[in-house]
Amino acid sequence: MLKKYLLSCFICLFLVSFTLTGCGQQASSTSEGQQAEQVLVVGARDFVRTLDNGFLLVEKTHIAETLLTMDENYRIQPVLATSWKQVEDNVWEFTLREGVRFHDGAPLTAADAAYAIERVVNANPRVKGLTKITSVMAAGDQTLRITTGELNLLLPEALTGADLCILSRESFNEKGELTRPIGTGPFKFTSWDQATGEVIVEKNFNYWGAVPRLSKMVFKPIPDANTRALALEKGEIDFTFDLPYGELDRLNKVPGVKVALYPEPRIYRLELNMTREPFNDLRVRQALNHAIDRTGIVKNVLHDCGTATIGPFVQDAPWCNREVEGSYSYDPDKARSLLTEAGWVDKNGDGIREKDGKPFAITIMTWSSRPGMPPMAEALQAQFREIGIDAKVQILEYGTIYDNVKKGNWDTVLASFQTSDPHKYLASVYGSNGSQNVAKYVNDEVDALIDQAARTAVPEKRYAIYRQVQEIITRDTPVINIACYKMAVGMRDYVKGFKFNPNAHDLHTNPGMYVEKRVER
Amino acid sequence: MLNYVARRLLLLVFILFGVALITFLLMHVVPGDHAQLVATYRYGFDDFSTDELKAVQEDIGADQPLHRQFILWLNHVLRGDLGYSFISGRPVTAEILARVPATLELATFSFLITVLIAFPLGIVSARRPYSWLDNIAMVSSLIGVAIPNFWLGLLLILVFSLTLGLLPVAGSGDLAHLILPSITLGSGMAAVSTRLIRASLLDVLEQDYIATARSKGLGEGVVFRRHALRNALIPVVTVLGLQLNHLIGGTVIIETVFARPGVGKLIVDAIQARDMPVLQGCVLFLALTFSMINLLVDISYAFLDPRIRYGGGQR
Repeated sequence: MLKKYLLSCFICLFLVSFTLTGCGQQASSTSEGQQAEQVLVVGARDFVRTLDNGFLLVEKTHIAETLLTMDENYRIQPVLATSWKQVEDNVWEFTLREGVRFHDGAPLTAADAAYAIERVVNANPRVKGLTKITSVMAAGDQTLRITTGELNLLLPEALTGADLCILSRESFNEKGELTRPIGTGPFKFTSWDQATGEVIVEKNFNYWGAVPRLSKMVFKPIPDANTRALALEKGEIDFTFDLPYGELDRLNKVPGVKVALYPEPRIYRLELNMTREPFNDLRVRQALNHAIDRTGIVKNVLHDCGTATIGPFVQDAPWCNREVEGSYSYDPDKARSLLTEAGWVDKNGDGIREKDGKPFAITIMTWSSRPGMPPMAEALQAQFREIGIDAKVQILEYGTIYDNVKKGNWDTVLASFQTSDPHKYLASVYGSNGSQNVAKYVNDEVDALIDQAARTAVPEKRYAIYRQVQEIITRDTPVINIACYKMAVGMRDYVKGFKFNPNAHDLHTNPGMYVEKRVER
Repeated sequence: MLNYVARRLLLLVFILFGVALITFLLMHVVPGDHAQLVATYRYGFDDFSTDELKAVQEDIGADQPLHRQFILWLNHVLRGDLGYSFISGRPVTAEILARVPATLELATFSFLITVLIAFPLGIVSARRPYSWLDNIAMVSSLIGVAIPNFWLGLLLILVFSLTLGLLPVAGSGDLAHLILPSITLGSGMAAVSTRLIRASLLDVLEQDYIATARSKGLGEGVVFRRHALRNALIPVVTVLGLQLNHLIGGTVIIETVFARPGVGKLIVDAIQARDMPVLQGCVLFLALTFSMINLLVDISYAFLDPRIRYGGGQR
């Protein structure tokens, strides 16, 4: 009796699994068929929760476009605006490209652009802060007039931000909610499946620029980095980003898969509480700089997914001061003598230095959502121990850490932040009123230079000022930079035409990508 | 019975209120600047000026005193409006409803797998305790309990997707995508249930009424099905109910590993980003399903054991 019951259970299971695997094979054969017609399947990192997101619309799916863009050489290039001029201190005029049409066939007018920009400026305080826009209006069919509340020479830079993409009014319902994104870009919106999280876009044959070779892009969300790596290995996705560091070597050896690393404007930095002992002493901060083996950390902790750095910016950015890189060589002996000079000496022979009877004991707080940080904190702990500093590592939640920092209850924080906008970065980290100036660093010269940069319109001249600031902050070192990020991009070897743009918001694709696949079965 | 159900449903209102209040308070006890976290997740940047943060703070109402924030939210909920997500700006109801199918699918399938594994194994083990079959079942269930979900998930992907090429790695949509995540979740829970079914059956088989049944000449199969199994089910159903609850609320890891946009992942994201409206909405949804499942479990007792009666006047 029981045997019969068991047997029928097994038969059921067998039948069910048989039909299910049948389904699986069917699905994979259709996806191969689609690839013959140039489909790119992208393994995305996040579940799409709203289509109303500039990064998704501009940098990933290429449904919408901005007025201007910044190319991979950090130069501003025209997109929907062909020319622009500052007509008064606070008034700018942008001439829109002729003959551009939205995906629904309607021509792009200055009124459309004004509507789109005004909507974002009102909703997004960050965009409002960067652009300082107070009003946008159409001054003719193809001329857009933008007024800023105060002088903002960085307005063209600010307008390259993906948030400020131009969507047709028809994209929104009467409540102003985005229902179907209608842009001007090389791809047009096809579908967003909320049950699977998939977003699909298709080629826009009527695009004003070069029509893409891909007929379709499918964005398949896979939040787990290990799963993304496995899906790429199997060929379920053609292209993906942000792979686990430890998997890169192995993946690169998988036939048909290639992994490339690109420098990204994001930094690992050690923030110091300069308001109290021991970090109020410049010699101590310099000693820490010399004690850190940045190259070793990049190689062993980040698996080469980074670049050792003294300054805050990626090396090929035109505002990066490469000369500061020679400032702090890895030199534990020099670090030790600097500490001795500052009065920190190991008197009781326990390997930890003391001053006025107090041991040099500090905590390094860091958070774990970015995988490189906890092991890097441990590496720092070991390297500081070498020069007689007793460091304790604390892994906490981001919010908890900055609550402690706000209360002044901290020594050091190993942090990770974006550095893409040089002006904003220098002002907020090193400006005396900067929102990220946790060290409470005050240097009038730096403040004056940042102020001067804001009033300098010519990019090359402005970049020269930024380089000057980098020299000062490297000398004073209120924050210790350790490494810049690299982004690990993985793709099947038949994916061609990817160009990394360090100005884009890390995970992006290009409209020029295509698939060159041998047909084989 | 009806009376009992009505009373339980009335109680539900208080449970929901209590759960919402506690979640709200807990989220404000946890350190972290709500405006900063919301801004970071909403705009995708982490470099905000003080003015920008203030604008976000006003927008999410974090500048209001705590009790006002809660009353305001409660006011909306009582009018059937769960509000809008701080991060995506979409209605909370829409966000949750979009995620429910993936979770429900996974929960149902994993539950089926649990039952399909646990009952046959548990019964066989109890019929022949300490036989080689029992030993194998008990050792494998011990391993099943001990293996972490995410690890088993990745291992199954390696074997069934990469090496054998039978099943897709990740995603959702068709049945093939359901197999690996359901097995991952279901096998762990089956391990617990198998042991419980075995223990419960062995316990019942020791009882006097089983001896009576045997002595009045009933066949072993009938004794087992009609007398032993049914009586052994009460603790099993309780645990299965709890496990179903766990499936609906706690599938975060599996949803992340297998890339299924479910409720669990939504909750974790909402906690990280301090997306209070979404978090509160999810918590209400979960509390509701928890209570309903528990109610069904309690009602099922009455059918399994005729001695259990709900409501007055029966004694």
